[in-house]
Amino acid sequence: MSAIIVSGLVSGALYALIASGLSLVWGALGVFNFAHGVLLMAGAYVAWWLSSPDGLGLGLPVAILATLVFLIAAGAILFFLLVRPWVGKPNAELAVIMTTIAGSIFTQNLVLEVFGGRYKTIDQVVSGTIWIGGTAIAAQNLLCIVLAPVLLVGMWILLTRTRTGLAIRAVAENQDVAQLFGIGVQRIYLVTFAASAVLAGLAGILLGGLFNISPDMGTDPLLRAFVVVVFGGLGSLPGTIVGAYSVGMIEAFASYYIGIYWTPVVLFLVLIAVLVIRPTGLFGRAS
Amino acid sequence: MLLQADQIRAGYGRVQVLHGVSIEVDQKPVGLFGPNGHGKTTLLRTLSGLIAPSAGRILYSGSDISGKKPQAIVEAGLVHVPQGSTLLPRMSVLEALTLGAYTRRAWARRRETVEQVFALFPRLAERRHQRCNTLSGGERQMAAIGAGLMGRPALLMLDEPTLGLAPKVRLDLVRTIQEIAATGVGLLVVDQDIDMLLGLCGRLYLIEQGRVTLDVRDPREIQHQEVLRRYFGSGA
Repeated sequence: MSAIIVSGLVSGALYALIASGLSLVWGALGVFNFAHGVLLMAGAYVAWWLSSPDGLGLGLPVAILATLVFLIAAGAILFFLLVRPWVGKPNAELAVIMTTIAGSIFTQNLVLEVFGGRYKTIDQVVSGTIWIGGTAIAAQNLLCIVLAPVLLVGMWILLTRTRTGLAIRAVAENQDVAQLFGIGVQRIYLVTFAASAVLAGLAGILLGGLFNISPDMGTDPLLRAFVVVVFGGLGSLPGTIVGAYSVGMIEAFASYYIGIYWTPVVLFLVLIAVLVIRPTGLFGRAS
Repeated sequence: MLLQADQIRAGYGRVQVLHGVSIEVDQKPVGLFGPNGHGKTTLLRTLSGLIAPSAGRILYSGSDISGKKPQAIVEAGLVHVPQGSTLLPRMSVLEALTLGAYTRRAWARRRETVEQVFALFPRLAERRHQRCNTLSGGERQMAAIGAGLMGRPALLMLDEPTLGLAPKVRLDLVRTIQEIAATGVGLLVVDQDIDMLLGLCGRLYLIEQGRVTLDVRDPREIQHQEVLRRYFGSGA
């Protein structure tokens, strides 16, 4: 039982990291970034390449710091190439879905070409097993469980206490008013994309310590992240977090009691039930 | 001269709304009135940079701001409080006011300014932790004007500040707007309440079909009836 809860908490933590970035971008720009999963994958590959003896062999701490810098740049490049030319134009939502899917396919194949198809693993950030109340928890799992809430609380503090964070929320709520306050909307878009890329990439690094890394490792988490943001309510950060842990727990319990093949079915049944009762998701607002 | 708009043409896409509007704002408050949908709001949006004028020139404090971004215009001290005052529905009053001081010029003094705004609108001080969408119509308008003042404007543009307010609330708000004018902040006020504008402003413009059709240089000399006649046509 406690093992199931631990597994649910780990998935929930990772989904929360992935989905909150997706939700942040959706809130500020009104577009869905389908390349979000690729950012996760890119984070994992760059961290692997920098840290592994088969790559540059810089060791994990240096590699993680350098990866964070890379992710900020990757988020910015993604925004300038695939999103900025369409934002504010008619049908931006659809155009960005297409450009980011195209960008994903291109990047996945580029990674396949450069790094080859063999699965790789990143060193675990922390190794070993820790016993808590009679339950054995892999240290990396515990790290996920602890780190995600810390990052999310940090993000919440940034969004409520800092000039740029408040500006991100203002842009999400009312762009005209934000502009009339003197907020440079394009700069806020850029910051939002960079922050979202960092969250996705960190999730990638953590995932890379738990599972193999491969060019399509971001696809499944992205799908789950979509379920999470719809479940929790689009554009609501608390909703996204509650949604992430709910999806993580549902998956953990369903795969234990019903089996792994029926888990997505259960997940989507719950999602459908929630949307029938609350069409805007758990914490969503009518737009 | 604080603001001088000269032969402004502007609109949305191919639809031109302003067909050569010229107005001047000096230290005394200036009022804009006229029927709905004739370009008053579009003029404010053009002055604040949300819309780029297709022709004409806007001089603010002697420098040309036509076609500049809202960011630069707010930074220069020309602040536009939009109509409807929905502001930022899911943010707290204090957060919205703080964001009003987003410009570099205003940010450093935001704590001092917010106390001034609270002194002007004590209601906002009581409501500071409430979300903007839980405020009453009058309080929303106070929050919107307060956020505008947080930008430490030299010229504040208000778009229909008294729209839809109960008479008592409206009276209080007008008094506060007069207090703001008395502190030396320039005002450009769009409103339907002509009595209010006549009491507040040193100059009025009637805007019809995207043009200035009446320039009232001395409101004391104009009779309310005459404005109404011009406003609603000779049949009124």
